[in-house]
Amino acid sequence: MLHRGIVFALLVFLMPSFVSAAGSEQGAQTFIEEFSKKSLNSFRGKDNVKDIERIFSGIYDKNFDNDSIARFVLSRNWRKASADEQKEFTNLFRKYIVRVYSARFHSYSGDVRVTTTRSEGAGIYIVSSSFVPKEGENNGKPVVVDWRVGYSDLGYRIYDITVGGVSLAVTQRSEIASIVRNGGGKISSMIDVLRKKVGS
Amino acid sequence: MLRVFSIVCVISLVLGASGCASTSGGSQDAFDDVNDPFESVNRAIFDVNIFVDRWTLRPLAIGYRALFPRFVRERVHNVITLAQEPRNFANALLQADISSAATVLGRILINATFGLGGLFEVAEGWGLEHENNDFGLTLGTWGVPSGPYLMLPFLGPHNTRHGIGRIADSFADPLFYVYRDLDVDPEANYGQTFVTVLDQRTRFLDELDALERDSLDFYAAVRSLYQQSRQSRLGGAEMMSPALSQDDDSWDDFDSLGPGPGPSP
Repeated sequence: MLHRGIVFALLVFLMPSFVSAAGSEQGAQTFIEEFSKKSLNSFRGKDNVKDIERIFSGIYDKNFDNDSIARFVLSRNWRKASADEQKEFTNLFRKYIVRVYSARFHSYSGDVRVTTTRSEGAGIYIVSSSFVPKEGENNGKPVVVDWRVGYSDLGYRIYDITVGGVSLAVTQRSEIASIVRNGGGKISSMIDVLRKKVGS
Repeated sequence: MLRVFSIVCVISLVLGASGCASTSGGSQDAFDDVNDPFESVNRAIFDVNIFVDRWTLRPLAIGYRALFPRFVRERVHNVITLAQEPRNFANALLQADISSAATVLGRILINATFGLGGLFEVAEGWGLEHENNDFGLTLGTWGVPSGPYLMLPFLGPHNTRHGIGRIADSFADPLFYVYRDLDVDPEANYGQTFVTVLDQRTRFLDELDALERDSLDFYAAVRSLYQQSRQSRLGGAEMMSPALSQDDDSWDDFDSLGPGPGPSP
């Protein structure tokens, strides 16, 4: 009886940490709702590209797991890269993706509705949402955006965005693989392309 | 029926063989196999397509959008969409997707009548969403492999299955029979094709510009978008997710995008 009591006490004690270690569907959904509202509000009334990028840069660092995304998109080439190349790639990729995402977010008007959330296991959630585009864009139709959200020690973080069944991370991974392959397998070829793209 | 089955078998064999050939043909990046054994030729055709587009279709699309109000463009688009619905219906039936076939049939009936011959999109308001379908997808649901990626002159990205499917789809265009039976001038057919292409190009004007501006490798980005979009339409059955396409256990750190050990600096 005492043994059962200890097990129960342990379970009660450990339960919150298990739940928080994996996050929850509701937690992931709230995270995306707050993230999208905050992001879109901060863009409202701003049309200067540099301003938008600067604002989104801070938002990106707090809400995206850039290190994991960079590692994913470079895929097997990550291990071929030297420590310096890995570091440089991660930094340049961050600048690049901030530019891409800030342009995408800026094209939405500010009305977002989270529709469903499902768990993929291992602390990963897919949060589906519907964005209303700006006047004249996407032929006036709402854009369905799926967010790949993960929960870790960092809290909730975004790992990928899928629009109309097309994943941005998978697309970038494919582009990067192609550039490295056509550059003779050299990571430096990829870094050069990124440098040119972000103008540094 | 036997003849259709034979054709599918032949296509399956051809695509299957070429698909295998491409996989073993030396793609170094096995887990990122884009099934593009003709990449150098495809890239050359892509460059020509982009050049032609830049000097013809894109300026025409910009002009079309500037000259005609959205109301007019939407009417044109809706009529084109209605003309494509028989193809969508035929393919939904061939895929034994009764729900989709019923949706398309409902869309045809509603938009042709209440929508005044397709001018107005009434059916979507009634919950009958439009979804393009084609014989390439039908072949996919029948288990025919996609075959190598092809960049077709003027027609853009295709997999071989999709390219072959286009031929079958042309027979599901009702205007094909109108032109044939009524002995209409071929110019009318060209005109319909031109308006359809112009409508599509105008609708993707901003998206394509953004893609070209943002992509690291425009060709590879278009290829990936096309392949993901086709795979997504097949319910992800052929989805080349990193986890599924990976065949080397030593790369399992990269098989899913989510929380994990970060990269060492």
